[in-house]
Amino acid sequence: MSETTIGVIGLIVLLGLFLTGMEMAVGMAVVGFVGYAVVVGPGPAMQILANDFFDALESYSFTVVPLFVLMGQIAFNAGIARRLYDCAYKFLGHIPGGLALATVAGATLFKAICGSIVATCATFASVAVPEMDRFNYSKKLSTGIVATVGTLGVLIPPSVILILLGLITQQSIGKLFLAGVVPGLMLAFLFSFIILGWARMNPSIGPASIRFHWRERLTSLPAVLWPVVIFVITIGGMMSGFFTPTEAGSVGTFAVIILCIGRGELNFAALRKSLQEALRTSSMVLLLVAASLLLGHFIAVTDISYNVAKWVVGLPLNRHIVMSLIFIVYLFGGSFIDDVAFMILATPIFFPAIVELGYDPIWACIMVSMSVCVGSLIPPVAMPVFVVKNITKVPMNVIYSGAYPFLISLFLCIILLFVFPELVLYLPRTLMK
Amino acid sequence: MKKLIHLIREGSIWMNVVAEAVLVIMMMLTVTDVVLRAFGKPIVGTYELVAMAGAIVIGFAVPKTSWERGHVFVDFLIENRSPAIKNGFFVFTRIVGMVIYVLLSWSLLLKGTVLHRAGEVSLTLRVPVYPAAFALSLCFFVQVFVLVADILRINENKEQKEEIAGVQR
Repeated sequence: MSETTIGVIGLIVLLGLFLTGMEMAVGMAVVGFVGYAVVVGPGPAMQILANDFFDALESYSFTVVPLFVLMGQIAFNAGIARRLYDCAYKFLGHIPGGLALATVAGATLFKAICGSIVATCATFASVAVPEMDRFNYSKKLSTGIVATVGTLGVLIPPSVILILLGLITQQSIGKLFLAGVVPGLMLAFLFSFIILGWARMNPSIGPASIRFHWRERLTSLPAVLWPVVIFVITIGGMMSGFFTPTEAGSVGTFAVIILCIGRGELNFAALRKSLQEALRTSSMVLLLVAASLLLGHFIAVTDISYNVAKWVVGLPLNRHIVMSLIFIVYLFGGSFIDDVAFMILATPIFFPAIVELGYDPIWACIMVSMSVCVGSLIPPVAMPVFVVKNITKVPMNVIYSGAYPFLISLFLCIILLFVFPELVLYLPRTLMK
Repeated sequence: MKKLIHLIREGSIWMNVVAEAVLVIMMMLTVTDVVLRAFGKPIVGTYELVAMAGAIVIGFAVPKTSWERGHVFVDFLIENRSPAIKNGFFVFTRIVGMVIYVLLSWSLLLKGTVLHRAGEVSLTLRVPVYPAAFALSLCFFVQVFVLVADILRINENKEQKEEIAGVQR
């Protein structure tokens, strides 16, 4: 039996194990370990098992994950999102569909300090939906936009997904952060256009609320100022080479803690809750990463990545079509497993093929993260929809039907990034040479 | 049986408290280093200390995350099956998990021993590296017991499990 055949059998067994309800990290570690033992030998398999977990967990680079997750959790528990939403509400609320627009604006600003999809959806589901209910917004629009805005966090720095992609593909996290800015903002604008268009076609879905005086609007602006300052210091420090990503995460987290304590919004209980949530997410993600390293070594010795890259490049199809097919694989896989877990699993296999096709690695990472955006909104595993359902008690089908119009924005964004790759590459090429 | 489950739960909680404290220390150390660096006096060896702290942070958080079923798994194919089938899959996945975590814990113990015997130290501070391997070995050893507790708790009803998870949070 050839090594590639063993590799393919290993991947089929892995999918089988996933379907038994096994923790994905365990499944990946089991297949990686057993597969490596079969191909290379049990002794080397024991060594690589220890080395991969030790290298992943005792690694300076990977410490960036808990720090940025902690920063987002503190911002979430301290209620920063509520103030951002209030500010956006005062500026945009009087426009038809304006409270939904305020949700997009508030979430975009919140994303500058919190990279979690779930935290954003949970916050805005509890803050924005009751407000939209008060002004008789359609449940479809209110819950649909709240479920969708979390996806902005996949692209807008400091995105945990981009950090992971940078670590997996060995690309600069700073460049990836810069690359995500334009697509993230573009997506926020496209969401806004959908809201305005929808409210114009059917004014009853988003009636205008009260118009605030300019004095009230201006007094709410400091709420926006501090997160923007923290964003500029952390991300700017990283871009300029003054901070490593871990240092940026530490300084950002420290700044958010000081800001929240100074405003009396963070007590010990909220800090501990943030720490516990950050540890839970980080240990889940990094255990997956460690297991994927082991699986990646098994895949490497079976030459699967090499053969996939060779096969993909040799396909008699236009490279854009091939890239689209890879994108569909990500969507399909992510829909049945977990989008982030599938990304960690599939990227080591497909990334060499994407680069071999002649695509820029930074652009490729952004496109992979776009697949996570879309995948997080389509059933059966659509975490943002579950979160919004649990908080608002609105039936799942209503939330899905409200979120689907915004999928148009995501697909439009993907097409634009395909046609104009400079939308992704301009900032990293200009600001980080 | 209840005592054993209680012991494993308490152990996971305390390990998580250690991880919380180390995460805060790691952040403060890095911030202090950045500030002092601006004045031309960086803390020597910060990267090494942060890397070792990272191992403690993540390793010590693994058992509690597992206790709360915080790791990613896919159950949509088995969630509508009969209780007997669901329990069968549940026990199977836990036993496989125990086997891999025992192997992982053992291999990390061996790695720590090799690092100790070789006198492996970090580049700048010359701090021994082996304690990090032993610490991770301990974490995955505790993780085995969390999976044992998972099987022992299989007949607890959903409310009790949520109550326990609530206490954890």
